[in-house]
Amino acid sequence: MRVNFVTGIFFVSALTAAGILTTAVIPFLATIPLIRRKIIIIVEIAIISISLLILYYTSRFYFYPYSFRGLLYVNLYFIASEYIDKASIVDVLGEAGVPIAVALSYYPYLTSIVRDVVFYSRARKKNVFRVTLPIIVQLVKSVQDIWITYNLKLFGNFRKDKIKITSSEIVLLLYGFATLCLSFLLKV
Amino acid sequence: MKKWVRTLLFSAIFSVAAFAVDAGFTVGLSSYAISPILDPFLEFTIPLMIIVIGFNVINSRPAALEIALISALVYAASSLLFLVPGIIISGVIIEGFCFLIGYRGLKASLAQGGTFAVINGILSFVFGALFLGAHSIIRVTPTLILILTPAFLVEGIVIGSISWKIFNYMMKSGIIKS
Amino acid sequence: MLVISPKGLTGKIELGENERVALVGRSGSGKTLSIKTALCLNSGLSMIDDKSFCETQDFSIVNAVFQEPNTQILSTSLEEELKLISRYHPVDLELAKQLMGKYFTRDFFKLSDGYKRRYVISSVLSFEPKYVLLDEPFANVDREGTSLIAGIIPRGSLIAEHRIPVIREIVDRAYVIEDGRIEEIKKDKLFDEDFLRKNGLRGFKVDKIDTDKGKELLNVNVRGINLRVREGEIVCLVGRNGSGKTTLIKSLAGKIYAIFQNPDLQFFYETVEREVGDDETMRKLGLYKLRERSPYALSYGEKMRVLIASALASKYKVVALDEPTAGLDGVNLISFVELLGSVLNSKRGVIIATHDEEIINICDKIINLS
Repeated sequence: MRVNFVTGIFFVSALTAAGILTTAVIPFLATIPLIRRKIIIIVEIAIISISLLILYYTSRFYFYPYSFRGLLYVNLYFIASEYIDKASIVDVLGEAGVPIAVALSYYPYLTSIVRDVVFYSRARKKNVFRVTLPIIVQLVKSVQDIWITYNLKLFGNFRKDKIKITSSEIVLLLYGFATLCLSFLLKV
Repeated sequence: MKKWVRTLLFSAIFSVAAFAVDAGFTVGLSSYAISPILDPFLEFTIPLMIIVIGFNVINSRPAALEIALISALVYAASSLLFLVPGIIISGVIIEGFCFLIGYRGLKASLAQGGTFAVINGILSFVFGALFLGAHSIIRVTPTLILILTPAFLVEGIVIGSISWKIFNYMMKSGIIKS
Repeated sequence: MLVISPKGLTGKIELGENERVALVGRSGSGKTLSIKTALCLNSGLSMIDDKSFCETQDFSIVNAVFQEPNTQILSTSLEEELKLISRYHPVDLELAKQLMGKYFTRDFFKLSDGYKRRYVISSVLSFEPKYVLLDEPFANVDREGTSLIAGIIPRGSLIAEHRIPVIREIVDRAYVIEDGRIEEIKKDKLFDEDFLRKNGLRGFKVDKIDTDKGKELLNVNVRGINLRVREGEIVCLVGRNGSGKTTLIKSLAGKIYAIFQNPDLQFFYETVEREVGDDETMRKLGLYKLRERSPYALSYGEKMRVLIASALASKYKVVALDEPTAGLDGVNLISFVELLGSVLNSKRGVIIATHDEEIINICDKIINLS
């Protein structure tokens, strides 16, 4: 299931608002069915259980909304990356949205550069500040290569597509709205 | 391809890269929970260097404003809202003086690093304390700000000069092609 | 007909719409330069049917795929990338779906190396350019990845490549660049080992290094494998991309000196001299004249030499190399083998992770991870 950028933002905003204005338990639970990787759910259940136990035994149980809120944001990030059709960002922001959408898709690559350089520096027992040079050189080289790719692939004149509302969009919007209402109605 | 597209693409990639390094360090140090306190300090190392080198590489208007807005967007999307006001305000000020002294050069790099560090440092510290609810523990008083300001300024200037040195090295060794 | 005459080289390359043409030559001979000239990203002439391509620079007619797939994407899946491209010009989604199969919607960063290359080539082929220029499409790809890529290279392609045994099977004609001259050669020449050696090209098997084996330097059990390395011994880890060769080497960090695939991520100093940190090693490995140069600005072969010199200058007794021959031409391959000889003669042992069949001869022991 893929939804357009606008629907995605409405859904994420509705759940974020519910998370901030209430105890965040309901919106957190509402995100669970939308997470595809079961391992994430198992880890989160473990985190919640441990947090609640610690809070209970340290007589700080009233802090529990923070645990749910933190994991709610994590889940919303996963849902946004999984379900939002990134190409639709440009239908909202126009041609100015294209470079931003392209840059965001390089996030995993950029983090992998940092991870690799840090690993290599540790393996060679280099001072941690030495990682700066290879990271920056690789970044600058990559930016120049990405610019060539951009020119080679995105030639011609930009045309916006109309944002279409499909049944998936309506389902997700209703789901977000229902979660928001339930969060206020059920005082969990 | 239009020139503004190049400026925007480069700004976006440098912003995402600075964030990726910041996130990488925060996760690496397992310090997300104390990020409101730690972030202003982490952000002033390699991420700030990436941003200053970004200004030098892009070298065209309105790079500072674009990098600030896109960085603010990615930090906001990661629930690090306390960093947003500082990033935007420093971006506007840097854009202003780069209009006069340019984006490239030692003087510009020192000014960019210093401005970003002071404004962003103080504001994110204030907002970070509020965000954590830690204002009862860390009292953000004028005296504290007076102590922190020169520290942030020195750090920003040092990072600015290192950034210029690296940029210059990349130009001389042919890594940067224009 | 596309005609390319790069500035600084004599001769020209001609590419017809219905043929696949190889472009071979030593590292730094001008293969990438020729491709950039064709795209008007470098000085020189690029003509299509006697008209200058640079006047229109219409990339729907001529397009290219460069060596590093990681910086040639516009989105995280081919499906999303093509949706983005379709906002600018028409794309053939069905063709791309056919080329990528079930990986059409898969996250780019979760694809194998072979499929990453296939992704970037499919992306360009989806807007059906008349001429496609490919810069080392087979570098560092295993046998399976090679057939994945070879199967989609269309007619009207110019393929610049080191791996002669792979491309000689799929091209109709070939050009060689030597000493600043572009010359057309008969395809048969790509099967002639003497010709390949003489021109510094790949495609021949290297000879074994003769050394005495000494005491055991490493004996570890890692990932269910007992890995033992002696002085003067080369142990090879073979297996397809993704079989765990790099992971195995990474897990040995601290016990050995490991050199990984992207040299640029492994340089931590501004000059070769500071990177190696030992004059004698630099002299021994022919790096002394490069000592003040930036390691990032060297050729791939020179970068490997600097990394190996750093290993030799270190205290480590075992040196591991992850796919070290991926970007090397024939001359550099021979000189790499000589370098390995220096490493072995300094009473060290070597581990090589590779799927390069041309260097298998040098292995004293082979561990297959597939």
